[in-house]
Amino acid sequence: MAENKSILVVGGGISGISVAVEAAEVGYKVHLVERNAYLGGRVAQLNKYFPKLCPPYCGLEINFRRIRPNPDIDVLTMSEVVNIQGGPGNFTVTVKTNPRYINSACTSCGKCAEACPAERANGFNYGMDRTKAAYLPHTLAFPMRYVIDRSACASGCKACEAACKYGAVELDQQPVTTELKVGSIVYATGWKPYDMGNLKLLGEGKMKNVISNVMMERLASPGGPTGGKILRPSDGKEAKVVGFVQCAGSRDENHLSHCSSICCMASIKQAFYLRDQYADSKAEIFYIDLRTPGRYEKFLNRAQADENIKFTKGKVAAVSEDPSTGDITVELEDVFAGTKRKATVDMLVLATGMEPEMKGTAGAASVSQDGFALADIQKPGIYSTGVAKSPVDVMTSIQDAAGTALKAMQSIVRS
Amino acid sequence: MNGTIIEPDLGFIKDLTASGAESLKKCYQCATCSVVCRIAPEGSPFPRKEMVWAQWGLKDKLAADPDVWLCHNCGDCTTNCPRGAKPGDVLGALRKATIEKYAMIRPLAALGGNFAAQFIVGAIVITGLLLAIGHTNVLANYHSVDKNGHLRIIFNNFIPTHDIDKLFAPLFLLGVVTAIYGIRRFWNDICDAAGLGKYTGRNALPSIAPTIGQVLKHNVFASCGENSDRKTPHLLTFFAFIALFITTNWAVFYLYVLGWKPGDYSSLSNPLKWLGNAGAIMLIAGSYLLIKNRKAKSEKQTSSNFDWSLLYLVFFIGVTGTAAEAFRIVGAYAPAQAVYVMHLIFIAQLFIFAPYSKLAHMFYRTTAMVFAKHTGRELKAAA
Repeated sequence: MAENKSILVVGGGISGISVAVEAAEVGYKVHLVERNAYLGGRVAQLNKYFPKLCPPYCGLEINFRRIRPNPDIDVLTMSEVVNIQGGPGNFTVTVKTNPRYINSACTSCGKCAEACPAERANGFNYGMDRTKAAYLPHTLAFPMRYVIDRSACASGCKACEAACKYGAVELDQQPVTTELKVGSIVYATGWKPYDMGNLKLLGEGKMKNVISNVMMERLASPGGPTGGKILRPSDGKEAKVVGFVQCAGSRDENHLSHCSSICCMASIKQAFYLRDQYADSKAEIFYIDLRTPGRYEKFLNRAQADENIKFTKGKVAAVSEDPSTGDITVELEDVFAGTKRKATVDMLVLATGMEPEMKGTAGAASVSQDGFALADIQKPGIYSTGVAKSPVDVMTSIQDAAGTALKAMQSIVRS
Repeated sequence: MNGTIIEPDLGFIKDLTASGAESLKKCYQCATCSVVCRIAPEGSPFPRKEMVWAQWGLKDKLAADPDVWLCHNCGDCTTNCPRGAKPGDVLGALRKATIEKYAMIRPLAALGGNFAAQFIVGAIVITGLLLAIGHTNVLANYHSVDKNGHLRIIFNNFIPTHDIDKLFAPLFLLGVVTAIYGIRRFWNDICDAAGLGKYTGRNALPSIAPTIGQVLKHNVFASCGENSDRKTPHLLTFFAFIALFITTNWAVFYLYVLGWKPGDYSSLSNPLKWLGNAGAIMLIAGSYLLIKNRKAKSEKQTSSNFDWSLLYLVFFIGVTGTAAEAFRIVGAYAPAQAVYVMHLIFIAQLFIFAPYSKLAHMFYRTTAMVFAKHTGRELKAAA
């Protein structure tokens, strides 16, 4: 058995957190490296999970509760792995930690943000609103601590430093490079939403009322830019007639050739957000095939029972915007009717797929053409889990994480 | 569900995949193609339905489908297809299958995309002509010196024009008869499939003139996206054919109405020659550009032998015709005669295979367009 009983987990989303907790509770030391200023990844940005439609913080909080008291989990936010050397049982990993400019004395009182004169686009809400340059990533962030986006600051401004009575602001912080010795590595790097700008037939991301499904999550979320009201971006009008375009970039060799597997469920879930919010709302889901496997079929049946949620087979292949009203008109062939049809909606949601974060930047893992990590066996001691490996839902990611944690531990025992 | 039983024709599917539609089975019926197609009508758009019919091997349904011909192979469907199923190529293969189905002389139809075999047939016919005339040595000097001592090449001395006409006039008529035979069967089937029953073509006569106007202007091509670069070369080739058809009939007029002798109108000062030469240049330029554009797109779109044989044939006809004239003018009788024989072989090939090669699109597409106009199936924007 290797002397080094440490595991590096790259990515602090639901998969990485799950691996870290499972391994640490067995007694292994885990370095959990996360690029963002908070843990939780894409799941933290959801409004609700399917199929039970509970807020994601139900699941995330339990895990944070397990991380907090555990001395074996070393959480490194705002950090990225820059180099990996060595082999199973004996890896040397270089991690670069970017400055947060706020130290652990922060109480999240918010005085720094009040004093801050600069603003930045809020990435957590996919740019739909703005925060101060000194900001809390989101209301339930872990760690619960402010961050300063120095790229948004005016030079020489020290308003936040003056406002903080705890001495938590450190504007002269520098990036820190750390070397870690670990026995095995797990990539849990997850995904990013496919860029709407590439979807030429679907408006190229240039129409205000054509949004992506991840943006819809934020619109429906109490912590989102509209406080949970589903209002369309162009004029803040209540979006009551909403279209959903499935396979927006997925199952398309010109974009993502894989099926992202969760978008059908996501759109059905978002149709429920809409139906629950406005009694007189209508949703129409334009699909190629509805993929709601296993017990998820019940979720689909529930939506089909609602006469105000309409399912139409036919991919939307043309989108236009009425410049005076901001309404969106889609064009499709209704396959079952065999006729071309146009439909006008208040807002259009593109069910953009999951593009693996590792695509193009695989690091030490080997990836397929699609950007998903290939079978673990190719690189001994290096594993991958969750969406880094294949496009899956939260439930499958958590199950997979437990199995991957076991593999990472076994690798250490064997080497 | 009305309980229709689908009887797939597996041989048909195999034939299709062998003639440029190998991507057919990739289609998953998303219907992107029907939406991005700028010439598909709203009511019953194509090519999504043709893709599933082809996957199911519904040969008769597809043969009686005018939409297969309303498609002008713009290529927008193929470019935007998320699966690389290349609907544009599949419809091309379906058109080939339709031409074969309505062919009068089946063995010739089987050679519709086989350039070498077509050439051999043409060569046999022209060899027969030479043997009948008794001129077995193509390179011998059949010409006389004029009073200034210059050798004046007159092709009529080598192969008499009247003998050529005796061969080509019947070949042309055979082509016309064959085309009418195919058009009639096609027309009856599309009317039948559209539920129009025993429907005579007479009612559709008013739709013919506007359709021809549309063809002359090529305005369907103008609405194409991806392959919009095909419009000008196709227009050139199309008008080259018209110019050369007029030229031929003009010569017939000189010979058989005015009683001129062959060669009397071969001087470049005769306007007939201007039109003929202009036609030749357009033919060469048009077919060259069509070949070049297809080659440039070979990665994204498949071009089958059915496409290539017609394009090269047209190009070779232009080149050999022009070269024979050039050799004649400079007085090089041996190359002039050799190239002239080649030219006649290519023309024979064109005439014999016109109803079976891709050239038959001329009849079937026009018929389908007349039908669409008559039944109001066409897209208003393209009218």
